[in-house]
Amino acid sequence: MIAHGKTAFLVFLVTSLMQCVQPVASMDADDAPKSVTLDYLQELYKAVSFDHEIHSGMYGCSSCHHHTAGTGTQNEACKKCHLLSRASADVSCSGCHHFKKPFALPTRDHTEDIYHIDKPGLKGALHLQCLGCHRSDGGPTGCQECHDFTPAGRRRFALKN
Amino acid sequence: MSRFHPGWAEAFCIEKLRKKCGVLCWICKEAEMEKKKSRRTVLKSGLAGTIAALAMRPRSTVAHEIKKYPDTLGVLVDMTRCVGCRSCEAACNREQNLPAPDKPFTDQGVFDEREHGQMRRTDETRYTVVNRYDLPGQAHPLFRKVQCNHCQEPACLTSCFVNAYTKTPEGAVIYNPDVCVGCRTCMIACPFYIPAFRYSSAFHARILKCVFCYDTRLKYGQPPACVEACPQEALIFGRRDDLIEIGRRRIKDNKSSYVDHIYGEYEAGGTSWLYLSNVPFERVGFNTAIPDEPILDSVKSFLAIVPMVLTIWPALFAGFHLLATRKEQHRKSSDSNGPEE
Repeated sequence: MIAHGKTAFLVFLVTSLMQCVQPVASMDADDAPKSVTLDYLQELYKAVSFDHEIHSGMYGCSSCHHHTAGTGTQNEACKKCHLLSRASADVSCSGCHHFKKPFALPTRDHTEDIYHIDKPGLKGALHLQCLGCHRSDGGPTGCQECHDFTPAGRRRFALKN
Repeated sequence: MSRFHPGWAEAFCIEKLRKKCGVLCWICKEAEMEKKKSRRTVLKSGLAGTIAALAMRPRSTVAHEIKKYPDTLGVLVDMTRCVGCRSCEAACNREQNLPAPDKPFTDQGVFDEREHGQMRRTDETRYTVVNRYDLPGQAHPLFRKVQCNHCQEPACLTSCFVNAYTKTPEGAVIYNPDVCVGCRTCMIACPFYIPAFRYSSAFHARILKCVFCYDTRLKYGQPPACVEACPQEALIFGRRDDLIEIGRRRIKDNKSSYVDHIYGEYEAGGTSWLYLSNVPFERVGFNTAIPDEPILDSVKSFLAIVPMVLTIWPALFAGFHLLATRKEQHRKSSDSNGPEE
């Protein structure tokens, strides 16, 4: 009985461990949107249509979604805590990277969270992510290759109409 | 003791006078011991030697007290992130109502402009400029944003004898054109060559420089226009102490991507604007010979004795003169009185 109990306990231990290791509830790539419209810089730039399908075909989810897609993570800094994290309820960029406008006196989002003190806002996160890859993998890197100016944008950049 | 002494300031150093040396610190024994090498060079090769010797002096590691406002704000510039889009220049131009530029801000050709062999500088029409550095061995060019660094103990403020400058508790170094007499001493005093003079108008002369968007934004706790415009968050705004913490974290977490230094943490006594770089700072145009002590320290002893020299010395020397000539006058008068007796 005792031996049986031990085995049962071991089996329980192993299965529960396996459950932890397996990437559970990972987001299905089919659920992902085909394109995402980025339109939060409307003052100076027209909306940008981001082709999610092309990008998700070329790269793994975790290339851009850090640890929130539930498919592991490639970022060394994230790995320390999020190697086995499940998919988050909200995987969109803006779910974590908030668009900071208007700025108030700088306050920390999570005072208790000592690891995310340097989290970029939405504008920074998108540009760092897009340009980071586009520079290293040969994508377009010029500002106007993604962004068309609005009339206000043309005025801001002193472009003759 | 201050490490950075231009020869003239050193010659009048009152702090050293108070010590044991007694006479001018030129022959102060303590200073002699410490700076034997530089002194010899000075004697040998004059001014050029002085400059060279000053530059060669070892960096001081002694902690010094900097007067600073608590919770003062600042900006951290991460040069590894800047892509040279010039959005900050465009935003500054509009925020400060500056004249329209000759070329649009989308023109990348301006990075090749050279004036007297120098890269673009801030002037009366632009309070901030971005310059490109094409360095061998780097996959991408590096971009350096230049503007007023808003020193914690500003040399421009110290040097201004009409007190046109103010360092605000928020961190900005602002300027009052109403009292400025256009002497341009601040332009010489600034270790970063930032204050610009409006040469274009003879009757409305004034100094122009970045004011940290103080009147329109900083006063209300908002970041300057350039920071808000930066797409890469190469510029981040916050409490200076937080920014230093963030800078250190970035260096620690990405050792291969950064040089282990935050420019502006100590330079010139510390500045509100701080920089991170992936190449040694001198390679991207930063003056790394700027001392850690406030520029003020180098000249305050000199400046303190200026009023003394101007007020006491004339009286003192007039007194000496009178004393020296009194005897003669006395003799003269006694000579003239003599025959009468």
